[in-house]
Amino acid sequence: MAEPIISVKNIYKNFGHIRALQDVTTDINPGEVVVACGPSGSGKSTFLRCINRLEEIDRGTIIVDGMDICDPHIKIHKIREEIGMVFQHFNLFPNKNVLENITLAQLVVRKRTFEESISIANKLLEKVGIFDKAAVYPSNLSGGQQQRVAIARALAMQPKIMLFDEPTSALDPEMIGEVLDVMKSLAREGMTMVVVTHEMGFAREVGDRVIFMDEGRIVEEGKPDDFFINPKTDRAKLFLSQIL
Amino acid sequence: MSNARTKRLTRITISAMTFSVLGILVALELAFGSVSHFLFAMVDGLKTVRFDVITTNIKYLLLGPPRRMGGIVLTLYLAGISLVLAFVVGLIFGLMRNSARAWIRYPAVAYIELIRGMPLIMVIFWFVFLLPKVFGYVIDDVYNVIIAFVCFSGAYMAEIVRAGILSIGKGQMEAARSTGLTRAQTMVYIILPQALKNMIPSFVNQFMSLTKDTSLAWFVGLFELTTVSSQVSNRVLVAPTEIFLFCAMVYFIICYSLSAASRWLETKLQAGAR
Ligand SMILES: Nc1ncnc2c1ncn2[C@@H]1O[C@H](COP(=O)(O)OP(=O)(O)O)[C@@H](O)[C@H]1O
Ligand SMILES: [Mg+2]
Repeated sequence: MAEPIISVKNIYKNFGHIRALQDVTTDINPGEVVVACGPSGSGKSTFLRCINRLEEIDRGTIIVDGMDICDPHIKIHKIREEIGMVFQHFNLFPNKNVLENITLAQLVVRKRTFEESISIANKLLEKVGIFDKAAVYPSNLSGGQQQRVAIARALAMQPKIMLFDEPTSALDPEMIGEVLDVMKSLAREGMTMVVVTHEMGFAREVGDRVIFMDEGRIVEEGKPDDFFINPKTDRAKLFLSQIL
Repeated sequence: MSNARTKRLTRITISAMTFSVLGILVALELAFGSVSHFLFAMVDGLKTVRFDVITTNIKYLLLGPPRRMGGIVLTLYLAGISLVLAFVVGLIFGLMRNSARAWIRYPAVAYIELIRGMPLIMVIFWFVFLLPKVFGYVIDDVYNVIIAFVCFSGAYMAEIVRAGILSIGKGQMEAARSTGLTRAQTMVYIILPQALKNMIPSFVNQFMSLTKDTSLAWFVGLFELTTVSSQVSNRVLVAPTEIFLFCAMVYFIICYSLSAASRWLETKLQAGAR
């Protein structure tokens, strides 16, 4: 058994009196694709955001790639360089064109040369299938294209882990496929991924494990086929009956 | 309230107001004959307009007294220097105001709230009369006044900067930081370029106020446009209307140029990043 690349132990997170995460524990191995699902407000986003410390946890430990991310001495941007994140609403930089979106962090954080950054960006644009849009501003792209640029932007830092927070739920139905295809190929290349999504097809095709969350807890875990066909808990059954 | 009803109410209000004004004018005319008197006086006045006072005194209005800066040139100098420095001060304090650290934020809050609660003329008096006495320094009043303008306008600019930064969604900061940028780098590369663009109209507003407020330097005896205008008026005696109309026109032209420049800048930036 390999050493887990993400190790989450007994974490708690409150927002005022709202308990967003309660006693969440899980290990994620290198190359594993974990799909998190659950009702709205169950803490899925908070869970992801704690992993790259966009939120600070109240209690517990999170070890990412051997680094304790709650250690106040650790430079948090060192951890974030290892973890790419893709958001529901893309969050591309509207004042920068596609190429600049992808090269900015390479230049500023990784201190790559201009030529190197651009060649990496171009390779990634080809990979996500929008090679011809390098000079375009995000507002002139479709939602699906924007999300693929966002994936390329995260990949440009060559992270070991990718976090996806409902990457397709802001997209028109006809664009979901193109984004999922990129994510699937990423999964097949062996990227460690934590994906919040309700796309069952994606989960069953490339997911290694499903985490079902409710009220800030992991209520059920299992292989995607088992979970979707044969959920054990009543809450998971109820949830699946609602999203189908 | 429905839209149609709002529109009807507006229409009724406007007609009611028009009728009452007309009614009052008619009543005044019937009672005192004062309306027609006023109109005749105005036409009479126009016949005697003498804009030659402007042309004969143009050098003084433009440059002020010899051997020191004055007139329109001083007004432009006061406005220009204060504007640039106030922008810098506003940027610094606006960023401090948004800081997560209390010991950085609170001094900025104190400065902004204190200054915004004061009339500008008070601030000018402090810097011209009070502070040089208290701290025992002597500098040209032009600089005292500039410091006052910068302090005053900087506080308003800081609030513009703060609001501009807040108007950029949290998602931008999160996206940038998730790629490893620090908070400061995100500010410089992502947030400020977007925010400053949105702030242009508010900045120009503030610049215009500042330009017109330079006329308050009259109170402390600087020879800027308003002061030299009143000097010329006192010397000539017969043409205050012409002289102060000219004075107003100069302020208007300066302000209008600022607003035209800002519109040009906005469309230019719009073309760039859209
Ligand atoms: N920044 C925040 N401030 C206050 N409450 C929050 C914040 N973020 C999330 N929450 C609350 O925490 C709970 C979990 O939210 P979230 O993790 O976004 O759920 P999910 O992504 O599963 O829909 C919700 O009740 C939500 O209202
Ligand atoms: Mg969410």
